[in-house]
Amino acid sequence: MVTPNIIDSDPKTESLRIISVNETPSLTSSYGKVAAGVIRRKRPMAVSLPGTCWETTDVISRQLVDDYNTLLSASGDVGHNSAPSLTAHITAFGLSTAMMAERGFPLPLLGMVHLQHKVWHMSDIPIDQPLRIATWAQNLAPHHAGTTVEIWVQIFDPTTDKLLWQSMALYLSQSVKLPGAEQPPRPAREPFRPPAMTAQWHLPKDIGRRYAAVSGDRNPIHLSNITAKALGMPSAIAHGMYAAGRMLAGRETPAPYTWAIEFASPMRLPTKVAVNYRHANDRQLITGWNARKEKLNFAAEIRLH
Amino acid sequence: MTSTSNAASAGGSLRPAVVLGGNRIPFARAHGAYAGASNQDMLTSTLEGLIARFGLQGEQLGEVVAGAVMKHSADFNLTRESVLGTSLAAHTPAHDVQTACATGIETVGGIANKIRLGQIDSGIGGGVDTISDAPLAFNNEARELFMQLNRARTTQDKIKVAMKLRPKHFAPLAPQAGEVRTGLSMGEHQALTTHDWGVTRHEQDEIAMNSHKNMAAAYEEGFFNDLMTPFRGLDRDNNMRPGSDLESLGKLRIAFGKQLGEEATMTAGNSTPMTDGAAAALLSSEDWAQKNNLPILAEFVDFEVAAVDFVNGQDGLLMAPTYAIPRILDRHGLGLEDIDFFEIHEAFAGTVAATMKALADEDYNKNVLGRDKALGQIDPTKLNIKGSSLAAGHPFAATGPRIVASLSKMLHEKGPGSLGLISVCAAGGQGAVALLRGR
Repeated sequence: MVTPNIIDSDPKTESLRIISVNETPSLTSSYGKVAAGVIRRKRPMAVSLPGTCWETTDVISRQLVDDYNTLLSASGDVGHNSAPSLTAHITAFGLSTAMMAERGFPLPLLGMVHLQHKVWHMSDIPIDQPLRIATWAQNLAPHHAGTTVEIWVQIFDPTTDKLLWQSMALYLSQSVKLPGAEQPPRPAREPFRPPAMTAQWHLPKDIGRRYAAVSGDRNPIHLSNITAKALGMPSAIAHGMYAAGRMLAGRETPAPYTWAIEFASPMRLPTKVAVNYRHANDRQLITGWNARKEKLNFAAEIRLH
Repeated sequence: MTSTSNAASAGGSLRPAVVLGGNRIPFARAHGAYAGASNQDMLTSTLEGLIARFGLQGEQLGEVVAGAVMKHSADFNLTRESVLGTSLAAHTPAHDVQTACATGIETVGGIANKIRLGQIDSGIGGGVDTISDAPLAFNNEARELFMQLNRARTTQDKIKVAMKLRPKHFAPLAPQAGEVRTGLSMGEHQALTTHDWGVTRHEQDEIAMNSHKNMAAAYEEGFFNDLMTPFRGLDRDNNMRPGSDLESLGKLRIAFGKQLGEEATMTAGNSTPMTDGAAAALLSSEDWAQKNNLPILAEFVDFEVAAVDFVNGQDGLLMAPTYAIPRILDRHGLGLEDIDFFEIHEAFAGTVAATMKALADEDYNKNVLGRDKALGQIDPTKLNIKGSSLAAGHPFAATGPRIVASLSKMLHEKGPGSLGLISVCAAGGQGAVALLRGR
């Protein structure tokens, strides 16, 4: 049985300086800004977190929910009159990315590896209603392959200040080492033994472009082999969050529930992902792997509360 | 017309629903003999053959229920349109049913239930399917654009939308072969179940061989003479290979479960091919049969449906009948040893073998089905003795009525009180089983 190994962390918002943003910045402009920075060789100045919390007011639009459901409906519709968990992530992602694209951010945005993602979907989220979105970075930590950072997002009902949804994304930068910090050794991991296949996802070569069209996340590594190779990837890879959406499709119950996914290796497009779903007591475990190479792609879980 | 005074639906008691006979057209491998035939062509011909056999021209029946799994959206009233094309009275109502491969059991069962309740006195349950004339649809993006085009008011708006059309929008969307929620085809799902139950290649090839041999023998003895009407140059199922033997079946390459490597066992020989065809069965009350001077073959006693959780990997996709069979037998205080004929639809030989193994398995009965002990062994000499889908083919919705008609005749020949059990697995992790008693 493969279980996701998610870090145990709590949101820490004390003493963060609030930066209010009028409008969620577009992802394309953030990537462009970073790309320009790379060309001009602007290196991040410090290896400490900026201590800011970015805030904005935005809506999860009906259009986004429809587009998202259309993309994933072939694998099981969500079917509730509230926002699917991933549309909250998509809506907030622009703000998080803009924060990470800032010059003062200690880890370079491009080349950042998404290691894991955890979501607490506490309440149903209304569609087309204003939401207060906050994002910040915490816990810069040494990793055997570089440095990790947690990017947190919280989404509130602006009238009641009730926390509806929060997420923690763990990213790895392989190009930065924390000065003075000791690199932990690579943890021993049991060799992957593929479980029985219960499903198979056929990911076509354009799935990166299709998810990009819905999410706005046009990170070049997902769009085509040429753009991916330009960034040092062997070929285009699927968005990790597409895999998350796929495993949630048809399984999102009314809130509350939590889910988490740990990414083990990229899904190179096009590909067939062998998938195992199983119930284990209070949770559903989902494992995705490459059957030919017997290589784990991701391990995930959904917990209903 | 319905006798209203004592109908169960009006407070009276239930009465038996009986099978008087059936009719089908020979089944044809897809894209072959019936390539030019539509569902309506095939269903109408099948109904007309049944009407001719039982002298029902101009009769008003209680209802005709049929369905197709692969159906054009324009065929929303497929059965009613087919009835209007037959010589039945135009006052005969009809409706469509669609529940994957269990459609045909559901149509016959629905007719039987209405007869038992006294709502109708006679009816036909049928099914039809075509792969050769399967509906193709515009893909989602194209459909959205055409809808926008339809909503556009001004010429300028129309041009704006039309400019978005690209060649890719004209690539049609074919009906999916795979399960929506798992992305695995039915064959791939069965390959997993076959493997789980340790069903060998030899066991499957033997089931396939017996299906062809049994059906060929049934043709030779004239068993199908009063169950079939020739259609488009065919007078028997063109998938049947009477000379099938273990040697030739053993040479076929693996078709499903290739990821299992050496342990893969499923081939085109022990899997049912895509087929076109139609079948129907005539049912009535005992009174109606008597009044019309028609002999009764069997009683349609009961039917039961079940579903499994294949999405979460808890069950095999096609294992729902293993839940339904014990339930229907328990309800009637019967055991497997009481059954004279088992008709287990051969979607794949592996389905038949896995179903039999599961019913005989102590662990599965206790832990999955929640029973005290194993239901028991099915005697293979009572299984599909006139052949089944591996030989005949399987035009999805037509398989139920095909089996109901054949089994009723077998039970009638066996004698009054003989019992037959039908098991049909279906896409979506569903299944339907039925119990018939000979008259």
